[in-house]
Amino acid sequence: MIRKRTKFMALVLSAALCIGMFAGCGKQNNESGNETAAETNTAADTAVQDGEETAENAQTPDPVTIKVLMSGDKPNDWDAVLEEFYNRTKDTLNITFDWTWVPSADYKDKLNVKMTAGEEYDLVFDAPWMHLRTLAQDGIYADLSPYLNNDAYPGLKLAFPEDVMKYNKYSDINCALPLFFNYGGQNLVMYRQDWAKEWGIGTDGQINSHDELKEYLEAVLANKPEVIPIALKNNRGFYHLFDAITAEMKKDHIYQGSLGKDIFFAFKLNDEETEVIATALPGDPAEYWEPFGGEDFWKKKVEVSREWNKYCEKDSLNQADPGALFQIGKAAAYIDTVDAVPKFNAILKTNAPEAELGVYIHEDAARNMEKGVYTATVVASNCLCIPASSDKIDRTVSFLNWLFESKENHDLFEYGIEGVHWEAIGDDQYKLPEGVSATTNYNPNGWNLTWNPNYYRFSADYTEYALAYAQFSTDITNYDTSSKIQGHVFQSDPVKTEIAQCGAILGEVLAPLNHGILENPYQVFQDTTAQLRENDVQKAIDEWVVQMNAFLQNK
Amino acid sequence: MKAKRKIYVGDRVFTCVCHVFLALFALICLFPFLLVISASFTDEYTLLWEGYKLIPSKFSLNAYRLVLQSSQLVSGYGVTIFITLAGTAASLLVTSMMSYALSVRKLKIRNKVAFFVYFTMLFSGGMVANYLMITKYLHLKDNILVYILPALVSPWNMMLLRNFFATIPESLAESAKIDGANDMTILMKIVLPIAKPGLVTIGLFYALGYWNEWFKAMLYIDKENLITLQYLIMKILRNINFANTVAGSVGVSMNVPTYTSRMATLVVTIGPIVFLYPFLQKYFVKGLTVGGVKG
Repeated sequence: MIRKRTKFMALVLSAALCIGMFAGCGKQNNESGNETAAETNTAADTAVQDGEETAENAQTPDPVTIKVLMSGDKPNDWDAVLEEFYNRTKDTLNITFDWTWVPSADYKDKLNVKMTAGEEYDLVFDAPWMHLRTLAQDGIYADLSPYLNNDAYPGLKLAFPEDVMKYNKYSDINCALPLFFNYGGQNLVMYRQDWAKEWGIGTDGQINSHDELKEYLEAVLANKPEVIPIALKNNRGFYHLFDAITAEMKKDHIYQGSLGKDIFFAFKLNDEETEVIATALPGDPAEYWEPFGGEDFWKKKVEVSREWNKYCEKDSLNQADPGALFQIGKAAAYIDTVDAVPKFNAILKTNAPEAELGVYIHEDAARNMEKGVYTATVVASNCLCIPASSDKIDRTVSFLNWLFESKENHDLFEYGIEGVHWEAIGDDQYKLPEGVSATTNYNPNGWNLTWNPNYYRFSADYTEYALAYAQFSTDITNYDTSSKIQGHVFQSDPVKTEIAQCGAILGEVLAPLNHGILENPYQVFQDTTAQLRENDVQKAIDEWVVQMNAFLQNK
Repeated sequence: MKAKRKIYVGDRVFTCVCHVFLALFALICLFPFLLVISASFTDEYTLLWEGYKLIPSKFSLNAYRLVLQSSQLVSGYGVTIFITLAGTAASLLVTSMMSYALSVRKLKIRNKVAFFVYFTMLFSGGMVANYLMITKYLHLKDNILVYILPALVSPWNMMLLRNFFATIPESLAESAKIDGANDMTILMKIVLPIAKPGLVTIGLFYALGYWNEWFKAMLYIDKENLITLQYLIMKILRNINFANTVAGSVGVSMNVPTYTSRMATLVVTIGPIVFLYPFLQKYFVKGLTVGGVKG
């Protein structure tokens, strides 16, 4: 008995000792961390001295370590890219990085606590769909306007012109640098052009209309019964394939508005575009639709979706990854945007070498590359911010200026080291070098640091047909930049109860309607909208109209 | 006699039905797990084309090759095993000392201390306050102790153990005191050995808590070699879901076995605990009565 007790005590004590030991280790780690930092500084000091000796007049700034908080996993070969950056800039920028990568899915939570707790960072990733609005409101992010449109920072002036920055203000200040690479990606349907050719559909297998697409899907049903004609994603359904309100409608001043939570509606502005003159919800009685020409735009959409449902798999509502079905040849068509083409083309070729990827741009104006039809999307979904508490704002901005100053600098972070991670094809394309595997190659996200339309390179995996559309999308002169409604953000707080109630009602029917699963779909829409009206949806729309009118009048 | 026999047959039928039902239920529970295992041993193409099958038509170890490449798996196991062992031992020691003190009637402030502990079960400072406390004042960011120290005493477990101690007759402690034992000796030599069933149960609760720890890893750990196994699983699954929601890609083509590698990760990480569960089950049942009033 005594021996047992002694054993127990020994166990407990050794556990306590273990913890103590690791506590010691923890401290030691910090110390060794400091040592490394000190070493880096010494190295940097030496670099400074060397620099002074070799070029007496060249002014190398003091060494500095910039702390970065970034969304995403650390890319393969990231250290090699940083090393190359240090080599290129040790005499000019003299910056080293302390880079923290946080898995994208956890980034939102982590950013919030770190910023609220006042942790010191010099550069962070944030987005309007994360905490950008609230943190900007709280004054957490520094105002970058002195650095923008400033000849001392030519890189920033080029990459973030005033026309773009005026739409990316938060709490009325330019505290976020917008990251995007095109002004609106074209929606499309990918399909197997080799099959279409074989069945004699379209012009040499090139589908150019909904009718030809339908013919193709019918042919799949008849010729390849084991293949799903078109694969839909659970939360998207037919996505934009049968859009109710198209870009062309803006010539009649008709647009689609949203209250959030999937509550959307049509609205019409007066000819001068200074005021909202009518709104209508899908499924509303005819009198609401009179100012719009009498017919509910959504009627056709849901009815065609219902008709096309026979081309989908039975369980499409549960399909989280329809793209994978298309990649292995189990689905004959798939809906996405033009920037997804290279990835699909490459994988499809690996899985089935005889496959030929066809692309059907399904909106007429987009397919015909009509200029000025689409409004340029310049409000970025992803941004870079500098916390106001940073004492190295100037140096951080100097790095960003360097990054966006030249194609060469930008390419280093976006594509890696030339010759090792990528090879240039012309001015705006790139490919992987021979023998380099995409799975182990440098693989940054782009959307979290480097995306910019000025410097975008297109993958060699684009099909020739799709490449022309992708190139079209990065040139702002192809887009309309005069839109009056661009930049409007609805503040839903005053009507959040109504929105929550209505969102719950719509949430039950919207996905099945988008997949065309429900019988008599338009009747379902009418019934749902009647319920929304009982739940004060008009109050929320009225609030939206008040805010939109105020926004239009301030233009 | 005949009536008795009838009841006997009825009982047997009932037992049989129960057994059949439970066996079926167990099979239903086991089935998805078997599918996970079989899916992890096939290639991505076959899985997508044929769907989930008990015996896949093509055998492949690619997913395991990919998963085992990650050095995080080994460090994740190391961190999780360490915090489970050291954390459970430390938690048991501190919790039992506190519970014992609060179960001794002559301690005048015991009700006040008990309220202090109880209060934390009802109200919490919130995530930001906790974060500030742990990172700014305790400096536990990127330190393995962050898994153990803030969770050292669980108020619920402490209350359970206090109630369990309260069932031990006070006369035992009194007689030891007459023999010259101090409170520490009484706790270590008399109370703890008697309270072994309670300690095992509470220990199991603690061990499970430490084994399943992922939230602290997400919040306080930036160094990859200090994350726990559960957070690693979480990270893999959440990143795949996240990738599906982000529109656009940088254009680098990849053909990574995402589905099969998810399954393989699950199989690799679920390992030890799934074999341990059947042996620990009886303590869970015991645990339900620990600290309860006994008639």
